[in-house]
Amino acid sequence: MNTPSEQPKSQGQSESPDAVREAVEYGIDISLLRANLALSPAERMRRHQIALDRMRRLQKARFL
Amino acid sequence: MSGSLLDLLERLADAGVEFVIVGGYAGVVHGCTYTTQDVDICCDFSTTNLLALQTALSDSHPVHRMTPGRRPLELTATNAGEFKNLYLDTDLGHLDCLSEIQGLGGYDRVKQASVSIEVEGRRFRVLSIDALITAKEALNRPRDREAVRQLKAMRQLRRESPSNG
Repeated sequence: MNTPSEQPKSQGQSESPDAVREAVEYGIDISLLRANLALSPAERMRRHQIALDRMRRLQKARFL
Repeated sequence: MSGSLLDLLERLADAGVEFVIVGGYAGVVHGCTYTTQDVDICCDFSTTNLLALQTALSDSHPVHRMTPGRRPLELTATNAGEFKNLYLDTDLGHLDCLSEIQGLGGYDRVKQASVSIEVEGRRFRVLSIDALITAKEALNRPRDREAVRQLKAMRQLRRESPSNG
């Protein structure tokens, strides 16, 4: 039987003490997350739609 | 396809459909920076709710996206109980309707794990950031792992700056 210190961590439950640093090291642009954080959910949805529409136009023009 | 995903959600809300925004679009609502082409919702799969969903989408030509021939959505009181998920394409965008979410459970559990947001005078329920992380960790596809990294960073940024949301 495992002692408590030997028990494996359950998957999906681990939490990085510094998720921001981990994201930066992975290549995520934290400045974009900070900018989104300052927006309301409604504004995030509207801006997402603008980006999606732009992507669809590019796909239609066969750039993507 | 030229519609807006927000229009799609507004139609459902206006028709009184019981649903929670989940998946990648929930990540967008919480501030993730990626772009997603569809909306995933977890909804009550009762006949009444599914028929309300069908009515809400009736003039946007909903079809079953995954079936050969892309059959039109034609739910009836008889066949509505046969579905566990609906993968739809509409004039307004793709809409995936799920009866349960891996890592969380069925609609009632998902609703308990959701938060309410207001968008242009309407209220929507969206999976909480913690529950979305749980669901995406359960799926664990490459795009889910990417989303989890963003969501965890966003959660930390929120804690450090609680006035933003």
